Amino acid sequence: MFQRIITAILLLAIIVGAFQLIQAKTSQSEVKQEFDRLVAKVGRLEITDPKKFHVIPIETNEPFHYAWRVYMPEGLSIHRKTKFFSGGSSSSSTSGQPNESIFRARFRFVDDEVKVYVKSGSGSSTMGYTNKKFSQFLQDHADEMIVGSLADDGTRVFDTDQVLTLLKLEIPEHLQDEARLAWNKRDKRKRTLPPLILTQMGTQEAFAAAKEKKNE
Amino acid sequence: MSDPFSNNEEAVPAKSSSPKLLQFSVLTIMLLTAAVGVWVAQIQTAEQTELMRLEIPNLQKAARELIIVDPNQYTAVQHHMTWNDDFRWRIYLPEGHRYQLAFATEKIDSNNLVEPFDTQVVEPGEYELELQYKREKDDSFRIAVLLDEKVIFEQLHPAGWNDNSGSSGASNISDSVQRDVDAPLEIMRTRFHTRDEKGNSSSAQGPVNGILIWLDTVDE
Repeated sequence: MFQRIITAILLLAIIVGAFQLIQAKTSQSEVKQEFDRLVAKVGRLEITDPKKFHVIPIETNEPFHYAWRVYMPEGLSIHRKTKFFSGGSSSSSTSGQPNESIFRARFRFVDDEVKVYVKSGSGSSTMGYTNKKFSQFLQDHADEMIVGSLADDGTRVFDTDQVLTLLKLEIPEHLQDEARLAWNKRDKRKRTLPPLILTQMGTQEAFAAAKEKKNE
Repeated sequence: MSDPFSNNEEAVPAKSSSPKLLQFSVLTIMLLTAAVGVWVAQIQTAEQTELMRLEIPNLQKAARELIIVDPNQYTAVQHHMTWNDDFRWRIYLPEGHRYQLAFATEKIDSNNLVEPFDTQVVEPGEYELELQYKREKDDSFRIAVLLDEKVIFEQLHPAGWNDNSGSSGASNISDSVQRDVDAPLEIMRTRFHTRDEKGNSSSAQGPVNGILIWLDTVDE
């Protein structure tokens, strides 16, 4: 008799549990659908250590268009620096609260000009380089450029004493001569051309330390 | 008194009851395992759902989506800018009113609304709003406002309208915001800087050229 009661209780627990599980799965399916849609749009930035930088790429589905979600710990003076051909831009800001920003670098080819829009947090800048041949060269070889983009795979975590290179776009070895000709870079030593764009961020101290290390 | 050495079959009841107990135990263990399994799965599913549910507001914010908490208020969000002239918003206009979208490009001061260049009545609902701002080759400007991809305002200005001295202000909305419909909702206010006789650029105190877009209810 006692065994039958136990069996009946367990069967009841299974039936009720299964019913609850079906309900939970149904409820999860709706939430998951919305969650997955948003993750596909902006990625999932998992903050595992609030005292460190966290970076995740955002899919843009466009060539020459790169974007990231970046988490910055509170109380840091963040310096942002972009080199683009022979020019560049830089900005600094202090993060009061821990905050998350969208960083973006997007190229456009307008008439004879190569333009880049760089957005880092609340600041942005647009830079241009007018050279018809080089603009055409870049468009012709868009798929062959060496793209060094931070956080190619999921959320990446960095100590705040590091300078983060978000984007470094370089010309591959086999296209250097053609690029030099298009860029009109006359260099008898044929040194490797500098990156087309180099976008970095980090604390002032990290940049200073990196510069010191480079000079050693 | 019974003889302990006799072959009485009643003396060995363990043989017959042991398999029954084992069968019952296996069944009980199987049922217990199934019950624990189904409840653990249920609890894990509920926990995962809750974690996703908690993360959704952050994701919505990161994706710059409309977050409508009070359906009786204006809600607006600016989409992420992908270029310096990329101004797009998602707006929600609550039921119970009719609205007008207003657009001005001249005599814009720091705080007040001005006589609009044009207005457009808009019914309650959700819309995509876009400002297109383009400098033509002859340095003139074409400014257009689109609602759900249809041009509702368009204005052309000669080169002097914006002498490229800089500007202050831009979209008044970035992350999703909600505002009471009792007051107009400013979407964008940008004011062009002016140059003095020495050529120095600065933000003027009085009304200047620029772009102002706002929403207001229409009196019945």
